[in-house]
Amino acid sequence: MVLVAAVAAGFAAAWIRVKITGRQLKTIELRHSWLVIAAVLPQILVFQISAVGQFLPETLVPIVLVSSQALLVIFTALNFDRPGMSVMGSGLLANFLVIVFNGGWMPVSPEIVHRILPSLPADFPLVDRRLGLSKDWIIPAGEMNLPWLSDRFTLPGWVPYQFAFSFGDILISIGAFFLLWSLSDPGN
Amino acid sequence: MSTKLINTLKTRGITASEARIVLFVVTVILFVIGAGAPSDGGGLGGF
Repeated sequence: MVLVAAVAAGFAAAWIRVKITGRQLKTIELRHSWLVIAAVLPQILVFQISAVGQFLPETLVPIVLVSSQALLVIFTALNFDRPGMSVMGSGLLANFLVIVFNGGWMPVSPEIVHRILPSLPADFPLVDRRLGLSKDWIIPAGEMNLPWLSDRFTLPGWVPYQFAFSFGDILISIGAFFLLWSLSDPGN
Repeated sequence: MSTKLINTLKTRGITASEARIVLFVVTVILFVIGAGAPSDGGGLGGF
């Protein structure tokens, strides 16, 4: 949902821009869009629909995630010349690398989990288990590979909605914003 | 007001360009869902 907000913000900004300038939104052709649908549908089933995700053995989840993101890497390469795609692709590659180098899961440290779930008891056993039905696996920061690419960022404590995100997620959000913004580009 | 809006949408339909933009936005939404990996407090079954 967090990343979808970046898409919504980019589209809203583009829409306001065309209203101010009197132009119209112009679509951008993405090559082989079917790759995105083929890649993400399994992820939606596994991570978004708990009725399905809770029955999938955890040994299969990394296979779904890595193969799905590999398809997205191919899609990005085929559309690399599109506005914002180089930034989105860099974010995807950052997430893909840290996931591959940590057994097919996005690593998150117990400290970060306690930060996004402050009501969790301090002695709750977190290490070496999946974070709910998410893409994350809880690993002590010292045992992670590429820890600087993990879900290591959180919002300030006063924000009521807490989540952890990675450097890759930041790049994906920025790239998605500019890709949507380019719908209002007169040179498009 | 809402009836007028619905009637306008019914008579106007949707152009090919608008349909392409909708498909484009849906594709980008699916991409960010698949490429990103943020974690929030939702769906934490068992915690």
